[in-house]
Amino acid sequence: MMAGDMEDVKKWLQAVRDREEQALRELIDLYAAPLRRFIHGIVRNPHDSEDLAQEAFLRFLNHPQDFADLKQLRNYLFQIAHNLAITKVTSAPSRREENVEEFPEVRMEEGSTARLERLEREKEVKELLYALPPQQRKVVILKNWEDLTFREIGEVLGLAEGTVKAHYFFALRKMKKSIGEKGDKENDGATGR
Amino acid sequence: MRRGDESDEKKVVEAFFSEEEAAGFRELESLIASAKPEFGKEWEEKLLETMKRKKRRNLFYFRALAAAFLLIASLTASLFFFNSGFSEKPSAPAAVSSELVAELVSSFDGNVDPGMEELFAAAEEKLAAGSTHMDSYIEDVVGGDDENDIS
Repeated sequence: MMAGDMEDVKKWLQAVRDREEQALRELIDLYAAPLRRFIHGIVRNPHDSEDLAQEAFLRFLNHPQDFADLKQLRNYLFQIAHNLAITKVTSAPSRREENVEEFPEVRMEEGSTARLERLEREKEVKELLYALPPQQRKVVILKNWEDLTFREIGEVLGLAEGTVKAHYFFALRKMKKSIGEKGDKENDGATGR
Repeated sequence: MRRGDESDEKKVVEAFFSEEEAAGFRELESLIASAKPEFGKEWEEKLLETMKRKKRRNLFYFRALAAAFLLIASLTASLFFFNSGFSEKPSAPAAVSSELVAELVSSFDGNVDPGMEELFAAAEEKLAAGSTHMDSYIEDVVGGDDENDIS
């Protein structure tokens, strides 16, 4: 399956709706991690992000729709996930603050040094990401982690394409500035010693 | 930036898409992309199981619902027929209109079927016998007084 052909997509979607194991497995392989990443970027709680990603899949299965291609389906899933996450965040604001290190991840094939370096780098980037306003953060995540176009991000978030681009621009500028400030501080610390 | 401020937004977008600006962000973009988190398969397996379980549960609910519907339908049907067996009244005889009687009387030509004549004769005999029997009964019980003679 999974060819780009529209008929194949239809057949596969039908199999997903019939909850055939193979089709469900493919659906999960394709979209489980992206949804979880995106939701976590909003709710900042690993358990909530797991629960909400699961809820997004179940809602998708219980309200079947037709899609011309897999990108449409992906964007629809992101829309469901976004709505669920926003509802969660607005209904339980006290649970928003989370340790960014709690983002559960596994990459077992790496060596320990490479893994540590990567974790350190990821931690820094995530700190910068979570310092962004929510809308900018969502745009950066969808753009850089999920490779959505500005137009697709606009569809998911319910924003105009231009607004999405502006959010992205301001987000990157802010992150770059923060990195610069951090570097300056480190340099000052080193020369002061 | 204020939302909806189109002119500001346009300037920002134009600035962003100038080569100079975009180049400055490329390094940062690749850094962000490299920090993309990945997850283990455990949760995905659990998710798959949940989705399959939901399917089984849905099937179960569907079957239970269908069974309940059939049960209620059959009960309603049997109640209906059972009830109608008691409450059904015999159909009323067709009303005999005076016009019909008049028509029958006018069409009667005075000729009676021989079989019918026999029937009439037998009926008259029975009536007469009944009358005689009644007379003797009254005589036995009441006596032959003229005062009490009801005949």
